[in-house]
Amino acid sequence: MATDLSGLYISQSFQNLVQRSASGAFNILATATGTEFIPVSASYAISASYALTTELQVSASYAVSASYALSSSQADNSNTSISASHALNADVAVSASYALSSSQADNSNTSISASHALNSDSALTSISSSHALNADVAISSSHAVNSDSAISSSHALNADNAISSSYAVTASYAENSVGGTQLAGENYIYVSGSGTEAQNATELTAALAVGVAATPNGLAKSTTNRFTVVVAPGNYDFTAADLDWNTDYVDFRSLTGEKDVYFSNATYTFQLNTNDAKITGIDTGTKAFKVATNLANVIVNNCKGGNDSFGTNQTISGTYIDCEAGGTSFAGNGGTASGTFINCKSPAQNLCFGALFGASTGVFENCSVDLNFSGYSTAQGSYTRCSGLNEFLRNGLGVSGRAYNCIAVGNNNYGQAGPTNILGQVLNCITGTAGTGVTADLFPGVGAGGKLVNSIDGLFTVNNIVR
Amino acid sequence: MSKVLELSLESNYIWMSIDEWSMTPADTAIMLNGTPAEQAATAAKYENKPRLIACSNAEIDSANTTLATVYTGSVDNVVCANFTIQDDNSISQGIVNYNDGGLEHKQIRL
Repeated sequence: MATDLSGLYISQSFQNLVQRSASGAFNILATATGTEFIPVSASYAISASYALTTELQVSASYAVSASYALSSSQADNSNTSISASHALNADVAVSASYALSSSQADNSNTSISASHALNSDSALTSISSSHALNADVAISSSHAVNSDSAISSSHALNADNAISSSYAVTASYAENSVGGTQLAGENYIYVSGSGTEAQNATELTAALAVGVAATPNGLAKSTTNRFTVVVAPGNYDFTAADLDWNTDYVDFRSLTGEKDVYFSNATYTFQLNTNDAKITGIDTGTKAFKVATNLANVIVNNCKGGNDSFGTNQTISGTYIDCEAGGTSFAGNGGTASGTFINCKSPAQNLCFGALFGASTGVFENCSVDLNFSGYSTAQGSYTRCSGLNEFLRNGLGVSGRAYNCIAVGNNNYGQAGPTNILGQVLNCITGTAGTGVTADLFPGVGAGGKLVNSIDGLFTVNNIVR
Repeated sequence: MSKVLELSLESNYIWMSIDEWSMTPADTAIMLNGTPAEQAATAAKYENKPRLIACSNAEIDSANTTLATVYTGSVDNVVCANFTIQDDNSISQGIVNYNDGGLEHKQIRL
């Protein structure tokens, strides 16, 4: 029902622009001359060839600022777009070939600044996205998993290439990452300790996992093909469990060699639980440096712990050098100290080195504890240049006991507490020098086979007794 | 469950198993910080507690076999040998301390 519009104002005749079907239903818009009208700001459009600022459109070839777009070839500023070939500033884009600044993009070929990108081919593709999973390329994402390349992501897992990420695990290439494991070789991995204390612990745990799985130089780890985790100074806060060092031939070395890798959690600490590992530079504070029983081939160097460190009731048979601990340490609470202990000490402490009804049978060189060095146990080890104040080898030397050049300036030493006769050898030793709070002390008697030679007591008498 | 065997003068040179007990925390605290009288009373509670307990003949045989492979000296010179033995009686690790006349004990590690 076309109407002649000539000579009329547009405002007067707008309703006449609507062309109606034979049944009177809404159909299309047309100009006065019958040319099809392209709508602007329509609330709903289906199959339009061009739509601007529509709220909902399906199958549009071009859409700008649409609130909902399905299968459009290009969508800008739409809230939701599915299968669009081009999406700009969409809140959600699924299977879009190109997405810019969308809040979520799944299976898109390209997305930039998406808050969530999943399986996108290129997220240069994913630039500044908050989460990228299985993306080929991720730049500045806060979380990237299994991406081929990640740049400036805060968390990258199994990325082939990671640059400047704050956390990277198993990356084949990592540069300038914070807390990442970017420095690594066939036989080592470096722990930077540059994150928070908890992040440092996570980084160290991840590095240990790398060491456990490592096959250096293409071969199984062995005594001559070891893997070392090199750890930078800092605080490492293990918030849920002890760090369980549990694999042979995986060594722990502080970067500096000093005791400056601090286990800072109030509860959780370091636990040595493998027979052949070399450990250097750990400080567990007041917590125990735990050692499992009879780890004969471990070498622990320059480490520090609190009470019950380096074994308490365990058999401690490894090698401990320059270690420092609190009381009842070095198998000091019923344990067996059968290893080698060099320059180990417990300043102002009590009951160490196989004390409290344990066994003291190892090699001790230049070791010290103020009270009860092997106290309440028979000393059957060899003790060279060792020292204490009171109750040094208090329960006496058995037939295997050897004390050379030892100094114990207090009381009840070398078995005098009992007293118990010396059955082993005491050579060039000193006991009981009188002083403030200390009375002059004597050596005990010497039993059959025992030797007390060139040793000075608290009365400055040189004792020479050989039985 | 593995355990540690010991051969020493204390075990009369028969392999025995170490019972890895320790004092209770309360008693340990007394031994660290108590008065001499308290320490003496606490120590008396433990001084007769056995450190070594008997082990099986199979365990003894396995330990002796392993010892013979690493140490050929007189057993009288052994200060202490500590071997870890597994459930299948295999020896996994350990140490032999001995002294044949030197100033310091010598050590062999498995």
